Amino acid sequence: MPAADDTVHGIVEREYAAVWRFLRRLGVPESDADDTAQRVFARVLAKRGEVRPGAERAYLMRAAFRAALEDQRSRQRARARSACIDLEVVRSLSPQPDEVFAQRQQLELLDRALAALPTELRAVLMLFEIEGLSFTEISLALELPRGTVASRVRRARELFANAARRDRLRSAL
Amino acid sequence: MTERDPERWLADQHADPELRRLLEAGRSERPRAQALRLAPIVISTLLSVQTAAAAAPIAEGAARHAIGTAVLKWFAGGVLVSVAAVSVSQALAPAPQVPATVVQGTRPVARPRVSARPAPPPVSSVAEPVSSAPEPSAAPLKAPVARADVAREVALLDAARVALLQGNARRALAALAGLDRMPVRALLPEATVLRVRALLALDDVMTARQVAARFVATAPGSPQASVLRSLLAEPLETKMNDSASRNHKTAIRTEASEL
Repeated sequence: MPAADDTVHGIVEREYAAVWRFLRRLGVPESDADDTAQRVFARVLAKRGEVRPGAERAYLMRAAFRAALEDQRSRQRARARSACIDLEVVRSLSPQPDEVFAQRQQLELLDRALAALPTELRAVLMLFEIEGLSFTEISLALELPRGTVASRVRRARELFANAARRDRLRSAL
Repeated sequence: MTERDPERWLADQHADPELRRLLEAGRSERPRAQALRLAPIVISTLLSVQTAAAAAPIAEGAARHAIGTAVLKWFAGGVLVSVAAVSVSQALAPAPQVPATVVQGTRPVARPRVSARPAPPPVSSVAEPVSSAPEPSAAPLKAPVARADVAREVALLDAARVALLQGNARRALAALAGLDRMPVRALLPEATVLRVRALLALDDVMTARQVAARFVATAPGSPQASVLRSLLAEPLETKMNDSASRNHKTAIRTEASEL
């Protein structure tokens, strides 16, 4: 197997989409996701010397989690600036092909179900189920003991499944 | 002994198919292709600027924070992605990937000496260090030039923003004038917004209107066009009296610090 490309370009190319997705699922709006992801990479890669080789993803997710929490807090303090809102509105009004529309619908359902979870559980579920991190990697990313990660994944799955089923029942009525 | 991780739902055929569909949708979401393509360049530039900012002698911690925020904000909301795509994507095309040599070069070539002191002519002090010659060993590719240009633009915009934050609109305009001499402009929209803010701070509403109108005519749907429209709507109402105008100047400084 070829060695992983550990240049800035290699790391960004390999991990950017995962970090961006993680931020989105943690509630960072699409209009801010690239900006936040870039900041996350700049923050982590500026201290590359402190990052254990092979653990870049865990460190990036740790920084992304913090950035998403900061984002949530600042959003609570002041609602998104009008320009951001405009962009979201413009995007949602744009005509979209069927496939993209279906994908959007699924994402909306996903976000609705995830909204039933506290941020900590949402992060654990995303990292495990979507981004494929191991419990050990998640414990490094979120600075939690491995046992706590295991119990949080169990709890997050339970809440997520219940929320998705409730949502399904509601829309069937 | 470490217990094995459970099987992921996405890999588990017995898991609820509805839940798997939702998770699959989450996994297949991706940033826009342009954003993905430009991310390494933007991040490398941010790293260069961060390194330079950390090394630069800055009088006040607040100013340092303002610079950091300002630099990062130039890339906000994918604005750079759309704007820089015009120039940078040309440099990168048709190769789908950026050559590794471009992004590995994160050494602090850009060293914007942005001082918090109300001091000397800012344009030369800012422009000088970043207008370094091309790397001697660099192959004759266009990409390194594009990177250097963006870094230089960021440094000059930074200087203008700091000047504006300090209430020195003339110095901001002088820094922006440095940008006019650059052959390739990836951050023209951001520069236009700053120029209009500076002109408004000097109460030169007429020139601000002209500058804004020229930009809006070329990019009416851009986020910057919306910002310009809202910037220009306010002074017309507030110019009725001096105190309102002073309030507006304060507002401009506040907005600049929030960006």
